[in-house]
Amino acid sequence: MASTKELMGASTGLMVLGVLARGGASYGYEIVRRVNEEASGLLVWQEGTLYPVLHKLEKQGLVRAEWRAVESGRERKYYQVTAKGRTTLREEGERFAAVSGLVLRVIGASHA
Amino acid sequence: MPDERRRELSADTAARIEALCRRVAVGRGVDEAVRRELCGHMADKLAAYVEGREPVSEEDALLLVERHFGEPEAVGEGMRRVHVRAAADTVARRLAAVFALSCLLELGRNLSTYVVWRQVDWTAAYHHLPPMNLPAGQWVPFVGLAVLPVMVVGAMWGILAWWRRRVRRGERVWYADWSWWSVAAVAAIALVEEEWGRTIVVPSLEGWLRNYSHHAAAYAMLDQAMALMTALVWIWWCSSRPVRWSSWSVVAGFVGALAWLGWMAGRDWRMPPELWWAPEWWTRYVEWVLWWGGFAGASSYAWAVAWRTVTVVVALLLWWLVVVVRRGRDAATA
Repeated sequence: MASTKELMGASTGLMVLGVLARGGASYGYEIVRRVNEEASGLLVWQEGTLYPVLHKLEKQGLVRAEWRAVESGRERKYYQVTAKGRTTLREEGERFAAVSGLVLRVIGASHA
Repeated sequence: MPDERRRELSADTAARIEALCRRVAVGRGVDEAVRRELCGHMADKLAAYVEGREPVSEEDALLLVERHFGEPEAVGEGMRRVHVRAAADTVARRLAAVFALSCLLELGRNLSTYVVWRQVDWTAAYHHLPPMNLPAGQWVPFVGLAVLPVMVVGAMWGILAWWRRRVRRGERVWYADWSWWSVAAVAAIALVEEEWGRTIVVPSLEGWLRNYSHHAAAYAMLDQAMALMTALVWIWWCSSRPVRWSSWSVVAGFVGALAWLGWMAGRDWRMPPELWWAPEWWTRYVEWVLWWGGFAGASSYAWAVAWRTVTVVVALLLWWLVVVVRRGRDAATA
């Protein structure tokens, strides 16, 4: 059977888009923290694996990135969902809901 | 969110974070931004541990950060799947670097061969005696000829291992920072110099090879074995997992390109099919390999350079098709 990680694999980009759409512009560390917080232990990311996902979303034009200075004198790369990203999130979200609904119905039927 | 006014990291911790981030090498033009972003992430995480409700020492926090971050190589692999062009640039640079290194070491071997050959030339055995009757001590130059190729491959492996250790420590190696034109110029100069080295050696060996080709069989086989070992060292250098089918495809491609090159360059020596299994063919083959192997095998100096260049281009194209394009396709469908 697929592990939780494998089940979540396909929806990682979607979750990142979701976090950014709800919480506004954010940077890598904060995104991981928010996802892990909401996952409540169900999913613990290897944090570095977030960055290829973010860069892929950026290349696809679903998020936009910019460097911002923070008080400590360092810079952080902030990501923000684009209009295209919001559209994708809505469409993919509906599709995901339909598929998960189907799976739940089938599983429920087999238990009945 | 971590406190932005936190204290500065110690120099040692900052250096360790920096080195860890540098291990996520993607490619020229992307590395610096990736490094800054990942270092920022680790600094944030570190601050969260150090200034949290359950404080831990900076050293322990760093271990936790490294552990939670995951393997930099795995992150690098993911990044390379996204930044296909930059990753391809890095692979091409590594190939150009290993090619230049191979040529320079080969040049050293050619010049050393010439020096050793002068010793052979002076032996009485060369002029008067069959090899089994060589006087004691006069075998040494022949052994020297055989040992030189092995030393070249060993030196190449040593230098590449050294470069790889530097990359893994997060240090920059010359071919990653130089402009493309500079790397290409080094490779081209190395190629031309190496071919020039052959013009000294091969004519001096030519008469011996023509008259005593059966004596040269072992030397010829060593040359071929060295080509194979060189190909294996190249593959080891270009791929961290040489057991992958794609890596073996590149080995096969490289060897195939060499064989094709030999076939084309030695077309005047080609035996009729009915003689392929005759003992004479093998003697001629040894001659042909050595003949082609040097300057004299091609009709001109320019041809020799051109054929060598074609070999490398074929190997590069195979590498591009099998590894880089496939990675790009995987990334697109992931």
